[in-house]
Amino acid sequence: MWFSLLFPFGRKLGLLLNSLGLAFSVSLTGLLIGIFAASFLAKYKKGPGLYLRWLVVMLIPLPPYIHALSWSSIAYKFFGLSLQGAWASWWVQLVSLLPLSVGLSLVGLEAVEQVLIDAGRVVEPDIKVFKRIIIPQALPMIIAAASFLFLFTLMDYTVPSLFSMNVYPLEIFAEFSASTEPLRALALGVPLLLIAFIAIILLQRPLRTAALQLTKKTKTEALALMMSPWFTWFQKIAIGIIIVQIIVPVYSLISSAGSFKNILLSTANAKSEIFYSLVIAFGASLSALLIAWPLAHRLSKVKVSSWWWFSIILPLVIPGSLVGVGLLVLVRALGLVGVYSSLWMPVLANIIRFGSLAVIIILARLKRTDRQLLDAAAVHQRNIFQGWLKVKLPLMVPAVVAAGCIVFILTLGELAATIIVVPPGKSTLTIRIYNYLHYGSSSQVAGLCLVILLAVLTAAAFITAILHRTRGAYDFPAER
Amino acid sequence: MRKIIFFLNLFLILCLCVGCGPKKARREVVIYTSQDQVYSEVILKDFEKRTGIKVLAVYDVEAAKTIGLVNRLIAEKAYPQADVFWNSEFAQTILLKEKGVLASYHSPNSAGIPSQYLDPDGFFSAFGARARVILVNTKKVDKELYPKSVLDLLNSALPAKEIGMPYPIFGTALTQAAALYAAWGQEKARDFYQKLHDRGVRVVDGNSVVRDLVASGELSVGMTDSDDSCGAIKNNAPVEVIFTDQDTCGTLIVPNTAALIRGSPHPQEAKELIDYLLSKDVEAKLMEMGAIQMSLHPGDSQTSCLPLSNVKGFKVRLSEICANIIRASEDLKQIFVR
Repeated sequence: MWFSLLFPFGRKLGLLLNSLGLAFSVSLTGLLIGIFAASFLAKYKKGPGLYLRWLVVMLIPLPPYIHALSWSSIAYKFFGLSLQGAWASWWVQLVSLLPLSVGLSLVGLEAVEQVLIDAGRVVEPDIKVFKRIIIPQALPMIIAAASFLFLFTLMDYTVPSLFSMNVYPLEIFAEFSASTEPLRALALGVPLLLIAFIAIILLQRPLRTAALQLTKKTKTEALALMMSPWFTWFQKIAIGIIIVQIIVPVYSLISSAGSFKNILLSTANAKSEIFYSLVIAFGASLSALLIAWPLAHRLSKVKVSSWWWFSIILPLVIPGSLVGVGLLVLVRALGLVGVYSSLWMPVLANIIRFGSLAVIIILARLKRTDRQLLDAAAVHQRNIFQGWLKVKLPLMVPAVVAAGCIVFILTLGELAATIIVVPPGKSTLTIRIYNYLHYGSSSQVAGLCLVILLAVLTAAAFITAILHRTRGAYDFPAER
Repeated sequence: MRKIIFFLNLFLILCLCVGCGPKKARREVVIYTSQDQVYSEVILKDFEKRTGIKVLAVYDVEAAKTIGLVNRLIAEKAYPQADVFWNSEFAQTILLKEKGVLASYHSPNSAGIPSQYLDPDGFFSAFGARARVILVNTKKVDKELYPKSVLDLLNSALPAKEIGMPYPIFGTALTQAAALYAAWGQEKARDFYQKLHDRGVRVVDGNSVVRDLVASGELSVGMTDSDDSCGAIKNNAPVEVIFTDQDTCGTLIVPNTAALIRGSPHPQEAKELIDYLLSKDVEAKLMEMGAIQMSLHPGDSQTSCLPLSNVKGFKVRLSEICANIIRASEDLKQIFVR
């Protein structure tokens, strides 16, 4: 009996192959679109373009379910098409994860040493420079992006099940639903977790390289690359896909909301959920920074082993409901009664889920900080607080703000762990959205989703403003 | 920079204060409910006004298929936070009873509810029911082709691609399958679902998805719940609800259930809330909102969206249905999840 759960034969093997096929196809296409779109967006380093390019990440916290419903309704309304099967699952999964792919690819491309590009352009056409210098330099972050897309798609069943595509996680969920036996579900999940672990082990190497690679950034401005016509066309197609990926769900939400009055009404009805969502998101992002910063500081001083990277990345792939249940058991076992039924529970759950991203971002920044500045501060400071306030904190502002905002955005959209640990009497915007989705109140759902998008846009504009103001101010080549 | 640090610290302190402040001395009760928040919140606020007892609720979402709350109750078994579990169906409630999560309480307001809807040991009481139905898009299907039985879905006059059903491995769709297993026997029930699959009927993620697809016209006919159907009717969708098999075995009646949690922190308030939930007033209110379509208390009631008649349900006990859940789930996974 247990043997048959642990090893997927027959029907279950088919489901596992479906999951792998979907995950590979989403990650490969996401990788290609990410590279072309990011290479286009990387040109805009000043003016409105600098802010507009971060519109790409706007839809990160939008539940994939909303993407699925938007595309289904648009396809039927305008084209009479009924979206079903593997193609629909692939497309919707891709567009829901595209912000992650494009965002990380953009970060990778921006980290490439300009000196190398300039040297290459002297002797080779720009397209060869892109192929032989820029891509290899940016490859670690690009591979990281593709790997995240692979992992998130592998573990998801919600989007494929909406389009009648059967995948392996559905089998696990169905087993848990019928039996509520966590051990049986865990046994069924072993093949999937093994694949995810292998992917994590492969992922930690490019991530480590990417984090260290960000030490090599310089301040030099450069002329835009002159690319071949076919390359420019692919860039335009990629940007077109990005634009469509934003317009379709936003249009669907705005038309479902009906009117500005409806948006205000749904916001007024959900004011307590909005308040608690913001409190949890702020609490998680600030607390994650307080943990991530010292941890990253420690890791920056030593050679980071593979097992450390493995343990940093692992929380990203553990299902949210498992995190919630595990946290409940742990907090009670530790006797933390005051925490047990407080808002600290969803805060802790989101720190566990997304804190590792904050560690990675801050570690990368620490690696590129000039040690001489820190040593000078240590010599000349009147006291430790002055050194922190005048030197260390301003040096870290870009990374701290970026890390905090990313944890904030992801926490806003989190559901699986939150529903397990949220204290009675308090609820979040995402829980309310899913509740009203079931009830069929599309105008309420649309209004609330637009509120989330507004919060994310505000956070993204805030990051961009901070990063732009501090850009280059303290960026000196770090010691190797 | 100092201003930024100041405000960051202020927010952190605010988080701490909101989470861990001293508890006010007041009567309160904690309820976990899988009933749609849009309905249950109204009922619970009413209870607050009447009794002055503060209700702290945790709502489930359909995406979690009630598993979220059930998992939470099982995980909290040693240190329960909840006082009452209000489930919009019964299968998971019976499961919680078997796992020792519930406590026995015989509410005086359960008098008059038919015994088949009451747990003999008093671990839960059922109230206010909905039913498994077939929803038909009236613009796409001629009246003479309206299915009157679930077996009519095998009728070739109804194109298979125009028929929708939720995955029968979760929620009330699974419970309906288990009920058919109990009423028809395993062989006949399995054969029915095999034929549905072989026909190529469209299988989607949930009852609300079936409702939306039938309402929009993407599907002509779909298996769903009566409360989901009421949602479509309220939105003026061109649909009609069919209670199936009324001349034969009947359809699945899905009652809400209310149960007391073992070791509940506020047992007295919990019992008051359970008594309130089992009252005729609450049933009438839920019916008016469209959350339920049948009263289990004797006497007539009016529903706002469906013409009430005596809907014939399966003549099987709730416990018999639950006993078939695992078997039905295994068979239907083999058929539909491949």
